[in-house]
Amino acid sequence: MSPRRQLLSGRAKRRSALAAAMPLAGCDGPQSAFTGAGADAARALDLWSIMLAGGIAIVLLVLVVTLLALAGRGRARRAVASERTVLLAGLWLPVAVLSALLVYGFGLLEQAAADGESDLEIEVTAEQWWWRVVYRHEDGSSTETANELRIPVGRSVRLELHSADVIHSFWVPALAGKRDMIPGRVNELALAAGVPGTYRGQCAEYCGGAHALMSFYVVAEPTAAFNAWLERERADARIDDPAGAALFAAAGCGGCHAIRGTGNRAGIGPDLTHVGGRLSIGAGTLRVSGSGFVEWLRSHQSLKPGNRMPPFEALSDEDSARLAAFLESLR
Amino acid sequence: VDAFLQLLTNLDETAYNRLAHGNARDPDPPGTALLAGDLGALRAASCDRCHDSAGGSPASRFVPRLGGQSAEYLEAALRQYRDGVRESGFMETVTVNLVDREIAALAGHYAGLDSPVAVVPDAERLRGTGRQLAVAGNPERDVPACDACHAAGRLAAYPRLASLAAEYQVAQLELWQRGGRAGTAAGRTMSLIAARLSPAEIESVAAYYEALPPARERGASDSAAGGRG
Repeated sequence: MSPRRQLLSGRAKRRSALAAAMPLAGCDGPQSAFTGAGADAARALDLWSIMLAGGIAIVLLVLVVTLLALAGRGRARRAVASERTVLLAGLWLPVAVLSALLVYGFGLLEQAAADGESDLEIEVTAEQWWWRVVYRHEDGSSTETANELRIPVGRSVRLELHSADVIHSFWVPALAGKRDMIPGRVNELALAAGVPGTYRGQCAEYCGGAHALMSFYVVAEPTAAFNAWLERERADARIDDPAGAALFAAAGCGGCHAIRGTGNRAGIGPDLTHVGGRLSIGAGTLRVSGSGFVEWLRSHQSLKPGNRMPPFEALSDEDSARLAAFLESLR
Repeated sequence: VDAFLQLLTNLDETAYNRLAHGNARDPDPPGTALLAGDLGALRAASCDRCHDSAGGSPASRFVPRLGGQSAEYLEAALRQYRDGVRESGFMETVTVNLVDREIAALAGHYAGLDSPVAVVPDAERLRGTGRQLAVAGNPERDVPACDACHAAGRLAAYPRLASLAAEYQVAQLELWQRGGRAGTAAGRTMSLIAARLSPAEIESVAAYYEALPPARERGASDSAAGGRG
């Protein structure tokens, strides 16, 4: 059993058991709506489970009635054909079921709206084909990172969703429903994780060439760990490798990428201040590691075709390795 | 060639030499020197006719000034022309017979050459809109600052742009926009960036770099540039 599964609450465990009983065990995971690890996702999963069970019950009822009508004896056939049965099953039952669902649905919407009240705000901007993430602090300052959100467990977080170019959609199936990100418009989404863990999100609206490789991670951790992380993330980069930092500037990386605490302030590509401490390179394309950075530098246009970063195949092997080691050291 | 022949009928000797030999001081080196592999003679017979020399600027504003480029960049460029991966109707022809030793010597010569700069420093052009693109790029369209790679102190593999004739720079950027110069890895880096530039941006940034004296390049004393010496 993985550490993440050990951390699942009773509720999520019951849900997993339910999912397993309905041959859907394979659908459980860090990017699955069946995980139901967030308040919003849990409500959607509840609604889905109720509708599935209700749908099955209604199908069975219809089958029974059909069998009675075809093969039943006289009395049963007369009962099925009676005006009272038609009125009850054909009119009053659908009215009652749909009204109940509607009332239940309004209740869910109200709960979702209440989740939106939060003192923690994160601005997420979708750009072809990555995610710019800005944490807003109480003192008015902000901290930029990319392709990864960290959130405290059990606390609702208000996301402000922007798009820099075309329509994208923000979706972390295990935590919440999807929300479109539309140019010139700000959408909001409440994100809350009931269970600590690492969840995977994905752009859910086709947005151009590298759309399929526009992913991100949401790491939900206990409040103390989250606060410690935010403190570290807020700080400037600690440069342990000055020669690597000099190479970063000399090779032109600073033309697009910022590393806070150095002279590199460009905001065209993802902020790399603490990139060595993240989970992925290229918005979920590769795992963060020294060899991952080398691979990205050498062949990112074939790993993620059409992405906006110019190719750097001309860098020598030695320079690629030194840059990779430097990026990995930025934790 | 046609135009040259038309002019030929009423040319004096100085004008003839300028057209036919460019900056070459000794227009007709003895063939024996060429056969002996005398690089000075080779340059005089070939390179100097178009490019800059200690005493003169390039013969045309479509020909780059080579003095002061890094030996590493020049050597790579000459090998690329010779090996047919960088296209040029002129350069592929004249480099086809060069051996590595000659390429290295020529690159070393131009890297150390302090040739005159044709354009007088022009303060107005240095303040123009081209400067913005050169030092800050255009984040709206994901154009990085040109200086991120082309200022002094950057990798020796990257060419310097200061004092290059504007016509040459414009021609190269337009070539990338049309899909040319994509045969080399460094060329493909520029293909992607050049595609994001507007015609007005190309004109203004070329004018900026042409007016920028090599010695005053931004980044030369900029600690943030973090050059590797």
